[in-house]
Amino acid sequence: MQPLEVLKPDVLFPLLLSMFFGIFVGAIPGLTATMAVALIIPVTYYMKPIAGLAMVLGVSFTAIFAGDIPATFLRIPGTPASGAAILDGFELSKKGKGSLALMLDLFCSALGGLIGVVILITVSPPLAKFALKFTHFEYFWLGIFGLSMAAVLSKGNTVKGLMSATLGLLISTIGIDVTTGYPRFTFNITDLMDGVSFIPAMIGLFGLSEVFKRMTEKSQLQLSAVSEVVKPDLKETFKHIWKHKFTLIRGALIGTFIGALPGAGADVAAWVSYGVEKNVSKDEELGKGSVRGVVAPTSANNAAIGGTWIPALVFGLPGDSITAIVLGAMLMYGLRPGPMIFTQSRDLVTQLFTVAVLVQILLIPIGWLGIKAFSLFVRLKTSLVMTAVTVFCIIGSYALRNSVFDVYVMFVFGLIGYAFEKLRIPLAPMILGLILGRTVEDNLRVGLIKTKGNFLPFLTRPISLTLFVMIVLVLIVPPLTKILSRKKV
Amino acid sequence: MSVADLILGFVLVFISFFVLLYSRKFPHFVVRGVRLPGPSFFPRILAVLLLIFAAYIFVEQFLLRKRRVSQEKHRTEAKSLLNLLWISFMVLFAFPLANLIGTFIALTGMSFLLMVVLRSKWYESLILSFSVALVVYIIFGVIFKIPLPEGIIFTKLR
Repeated sequence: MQPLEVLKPDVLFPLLLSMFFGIFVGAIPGLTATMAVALIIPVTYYMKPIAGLAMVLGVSFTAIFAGDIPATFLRIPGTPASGAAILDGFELSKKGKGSLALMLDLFCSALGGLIGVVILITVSPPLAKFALKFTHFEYFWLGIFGLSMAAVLSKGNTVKGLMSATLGLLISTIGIDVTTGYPRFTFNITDLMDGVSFIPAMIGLFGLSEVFKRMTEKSQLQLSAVSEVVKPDLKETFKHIWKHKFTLIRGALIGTFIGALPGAGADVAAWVSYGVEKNVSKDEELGKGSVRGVVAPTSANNAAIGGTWIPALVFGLPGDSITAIVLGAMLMYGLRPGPMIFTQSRDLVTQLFTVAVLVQILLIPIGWLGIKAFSLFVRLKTSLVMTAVTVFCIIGSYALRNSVFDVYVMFVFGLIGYAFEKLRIPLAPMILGLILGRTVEDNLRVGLIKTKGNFLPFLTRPISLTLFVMIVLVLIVPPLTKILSRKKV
Repeated sequence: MSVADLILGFVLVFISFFVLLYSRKFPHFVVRGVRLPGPSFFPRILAVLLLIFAAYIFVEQFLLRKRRVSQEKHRTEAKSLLNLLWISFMVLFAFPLANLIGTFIALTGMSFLLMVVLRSKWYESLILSFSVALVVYIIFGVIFKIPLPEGIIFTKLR
């Protein structure tokens, strides 16, 4: 039985370890789930692909959940995806119901995650069949669609998002040109002939840049100890979950949908879910310590992870920065994400889906241990955490190809990430540009070569045209709405 | 006016001009007399896009918000700068040092110094840096058998 292969120790053991690691990173404010995934990838180089992907899944789901723990107790989100969970989680905590908030959080994360995974399992294969109809023209627009969505949905200025994506695309042109074999922007450096390696770049952008940021900020990681001892009351937890079952389902569906949009991750999902709940429920307690305010964002942020895997697996289009790293890792394992993966690596996809379900089941005991151990995590010194992250960044980027050059690549991207953070330029579009660069360029050029330089077929085929219209809408509608709303005011 | 954004605009202009000029030496891609998109085609499109973004930033800074005074004060303390430099030093010199004295000792030493710079007590730093280096060495060097530098000194001594 192929799916049961994941229960063998060579997959299960790394999965469990990664989940503990995810809890640890997620629970420490300032360290993100993306960073956790970027740091764990080097450890997976020498494992079989399913073990590596299991670790990535384990880390991402648990880190997103664990981010809600400091959000509830300390009013500091462990990861950006926990921003919305602060509002009511912390208020409940102030009322002495912190343990209830966290137990709800844990079960809603697992259930929301499960709904997201079930949708992933059911939607991906038929979508992949449809994607088989895509040619160079459609893949070009699909790449552009992903990049524009990432730019529009990422926090901050849309223009800066688009600029970040363009810079990512430009970096992806470094290396030997596939069509002509001519080295571009390599400056006679042999290590650049293959292009800029994804993984060191991502470790730098998400790992080292965070260290730089933390080390130049006044705020420190060390926080006050948690006063409340967690006493789980399962009966009360289930009673609340049953009472707010529609909120949970709604949150999970919203989360999965938002996650499936390229560029929008768990953080956007959590806020949208919270906002929808506010409108739908008309609960006046929302924001003042309402259970609904915990259920909605926590079910959405974990469900979003399942959603992000849909475009990643089906089209090879990252749903967020985590899946962008995953795509880089999959290429490293020799896998080619896209519709063909469902036929060429059917066993792996089945195992991947099994792992995703397994993670939701394991999340409950491991998450509970995480809640218990939380007070230990926050007592860790900044110096230790940051030193450990730096050491992991150095060795992790070296380990890919045993290349010191990759360490320098990681360093340069660390500086870029730091500068981007300071200038409020979103990082995710750059990563997407870096990942999608080759796809976008190759499909554009092959399409133009096929048509002898005629661009018209890019706009006349039905799916191409639909995608083009969608891109135009994505780029035009938000500023237009802004202008119109200003005029109204 | 945000100085940082202005600098960003100039950086974009520099990058795009560099790409446009540098890509001029890329060969043309001609098949049966027809000139098709070659190696310079895509980078040039991107360079033009970057120029447009730069122009947008300049227009925004000079025309739309000319009276806006930046409220952001990027005050970097000397200590923060020292931390930044020390981490940069650690990243850049970790492997040259590891090639000399071995990965384990290099990582322990550098982690120790970084922790001391970050105001940890020396004995605490020593124990923790040793533990971090040991965990990393076991994961990458022992379990995954990645050839981490053993160091010239120790190789010669052996």
